[in-house]
Amino acid sequence: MASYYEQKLDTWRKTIQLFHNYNRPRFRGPFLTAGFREYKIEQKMGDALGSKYSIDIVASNKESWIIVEITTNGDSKEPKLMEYKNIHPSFLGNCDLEIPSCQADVMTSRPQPVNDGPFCQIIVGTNLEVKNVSFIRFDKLREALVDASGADLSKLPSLSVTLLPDFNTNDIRKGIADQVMQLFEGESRKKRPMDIVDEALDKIQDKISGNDRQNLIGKVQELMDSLVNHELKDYLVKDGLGYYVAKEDCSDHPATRKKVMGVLKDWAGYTSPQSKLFDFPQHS
Amino acid sequence: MSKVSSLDDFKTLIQAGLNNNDKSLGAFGKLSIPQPKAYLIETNRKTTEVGCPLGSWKPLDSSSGWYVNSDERESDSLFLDATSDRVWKIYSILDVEKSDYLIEDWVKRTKGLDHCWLTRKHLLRWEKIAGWDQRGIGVKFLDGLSSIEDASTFSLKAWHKADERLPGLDKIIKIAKENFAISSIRWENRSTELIAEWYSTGKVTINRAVDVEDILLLTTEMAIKYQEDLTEATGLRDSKMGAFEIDFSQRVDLDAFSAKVEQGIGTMKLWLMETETRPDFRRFRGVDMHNWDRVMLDVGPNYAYLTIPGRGCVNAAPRIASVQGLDNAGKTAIMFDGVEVFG
Repeated sequence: MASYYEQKLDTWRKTIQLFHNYNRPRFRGPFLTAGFREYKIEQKMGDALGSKYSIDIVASNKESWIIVEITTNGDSKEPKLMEYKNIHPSFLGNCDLEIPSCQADVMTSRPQPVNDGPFCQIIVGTNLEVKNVSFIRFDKLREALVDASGADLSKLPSLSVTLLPDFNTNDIRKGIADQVMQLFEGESRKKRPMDIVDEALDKIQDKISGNDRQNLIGKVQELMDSLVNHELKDYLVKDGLGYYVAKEDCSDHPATRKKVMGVLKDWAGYTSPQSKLFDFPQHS
Repeated sequence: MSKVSSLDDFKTLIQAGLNNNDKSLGAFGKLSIPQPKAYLIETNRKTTEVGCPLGSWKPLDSSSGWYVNSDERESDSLFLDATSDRVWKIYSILDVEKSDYLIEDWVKRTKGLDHCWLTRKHLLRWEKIAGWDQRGIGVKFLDGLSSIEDASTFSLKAWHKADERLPGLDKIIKIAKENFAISSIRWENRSTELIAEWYSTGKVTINRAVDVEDILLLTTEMAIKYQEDLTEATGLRDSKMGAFEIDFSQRVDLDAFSAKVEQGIGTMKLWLMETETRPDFRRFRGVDMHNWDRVMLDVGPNYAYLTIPGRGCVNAAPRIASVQGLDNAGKTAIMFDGVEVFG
């Protein structure tokens, strides 16, 4: 079962992909269909009364703009969404987005339905479900959401972000395993815990607080120290400056890669993939 | 000792080769020169950082960004046009085997360099330009996910002019072209009498030419196009969170794909960890061993989504499309938001 944070990342992934199109399997992201080609994540915006908000996703075009609150929380977001309705479109200029002369269509994107009051809800489960679509005022978006309802979201592409603040130990291992693989290039690819964290945060790197980043760095350091002292002690080492690096005699060879892959999959919790169940013949 | 000291000297040497002008060639210490070749190199480095495939680079007089190789035995055989900071052109008058080996080896051992991997769209770009005729094609399929015994490899290289004498050849070429990756293609320009064979690895061999300037123009045109494509793809990587989609013509055996990439073996040079498994879909994360940058690859039976994190080089998109196309995926096309990019 997916952890809370895996679910959070999954909800972000599916919501972001609603701004994109793919040919195989055919998927038309309703936000893109409605003309929202430009979107920004984690933006600071405000209202006329001086209140400040951190918006998960904001997007605009000449005719309309949207605010999407992404949540895996089971609580209603109605009060927050009510406040978002007061955000003035002029703040879009600060996000380098077009400024239409209308109020935003505000909505939530969640893995399961929750009563969010008089607001549209995008449910990003295995398939796309749209609740309260009548609250969307921009005709093109309303039509696009209705048309996209039922679309399979399970095979949409991965996001480049692999770490989120407050990830637990297991989630972090999954989020940084590919960076451990990179170390096997040799000495030119050494990394410190802070490098690993920043790379895994990718596009949200400058969106999270210093405290959250420091917490992640601490957890990554602990996990990596343990990894180089135990599971991969024959291959990796921590140098005097705090960089993790491949040992000099660690040869780049298929057999080494196979062995390391086995260790890393165990470490990150990716062993026993579900597909093995399908490999067995079906018995009646 | 190098005898080519300026851009004019370089052009004079190549022109002498095209004209078979013994006297001019002799002035450069050459009896003859083989067909000129050019290699498009994708770079993230400075010329001072990368060394030279043969000897060392020496700047050409009063031509900023141009270099000639200086070597104990074979000076004046490689010419680097580094006037662009993203795509370099290396002109070569070495024998083809030696030239290919030296460039391949140099790219492989120099971090930050790669080939410009030409997509099908790049290779076919003269199709709709008046005055150009397709004169030959190379099509390849290695079936690299199958065992050596079971592999249904396919290779075809044919000159189109011959098809008039071999009924049905045109049809075979068409079918092969639609199912497998194009490894090379030969184009003729009637007005300039230029015949050039472009390879998916970013190499062009000049089979025939009258004027050296036509060779430089042809090579530069493709380099500019490739650079524009890289710039566009970098913009997409930085401003969007969507993925590059690579569509295949061949069905990929996902179990075999997984087995190869988990060990980082085979032509693809991908070392990936399977992170999600379904019968008809797999998610992978890991490294592209061409440059050890991180990649995320979500693979279905006839498509893949490629996500390039951080400042990872977008040249991974045409490289993976090209290499995987030749190896196991057949005809490939790279899309972003449903629209073809790179080409």
